[in-house]
Amino acid sequence: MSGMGWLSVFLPGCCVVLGVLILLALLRAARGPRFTDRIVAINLIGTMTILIMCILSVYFEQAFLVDIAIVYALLSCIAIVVLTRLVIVRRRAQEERELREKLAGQAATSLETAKDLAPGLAKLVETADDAEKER
Amino acid sequence: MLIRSIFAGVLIVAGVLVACVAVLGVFRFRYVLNRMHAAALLDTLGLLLVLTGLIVLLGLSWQSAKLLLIIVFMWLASPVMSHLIARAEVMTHAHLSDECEVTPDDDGI
Repeated sequence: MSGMGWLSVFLPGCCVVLGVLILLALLRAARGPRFTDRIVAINLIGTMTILIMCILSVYFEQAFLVDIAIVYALLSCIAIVVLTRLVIVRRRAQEERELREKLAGQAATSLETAKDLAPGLAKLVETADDAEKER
Repeated sequence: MLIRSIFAGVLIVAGVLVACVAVLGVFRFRYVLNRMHAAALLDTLGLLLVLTGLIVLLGLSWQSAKLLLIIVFMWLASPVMSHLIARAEVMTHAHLSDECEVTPDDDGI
């Protein structure tokens, strides 16, 4: 690398440190107890990959690497949005289904109760009518 | 030129240190909603420091304008991603009150 002096060692050193951090974040993604842990770790990995790409674009003096970093940022953002939206939409549909089943069950039980009570009610009305006639 | 590159180097080192702190925080905290705080650090501060260092190093050019575009985009997108991740976590966790004191409302979030 011409004309950079100590930066020619410094920039790859930063890339190496970020690479080690990416491995650690990957470990977190593998160990994370819940799926959101993994998504957070993948988000970390994506951001650090963007940083490495930008540093390398300065180090190699290749401006097109920054374009790739922009596309990578868009892709990681869209991936996370799609994953979480999928989970949220499915969860919402499931909750709606459960609520509908619960309401249907309640309606069925109240219908049963009404059917049980109906003969008694009819008898009561009959008695009341008889009493009215006698009077 | 030397002072400028030293300033850029300090910024980049600060950014890499922020990345280290973010990964450390992701390992130290024990629940996702806490871990997201540490992870959001890298998305905003770490990215800002490293890319600002690179912009200082490059000076005024199309390449540094694109780096600025990455900063702007990630600053706009990172809160959205954090919000969606937290929402998915809150909606799917069955015993949220065991992990933290805040409980969701009746309408989901």
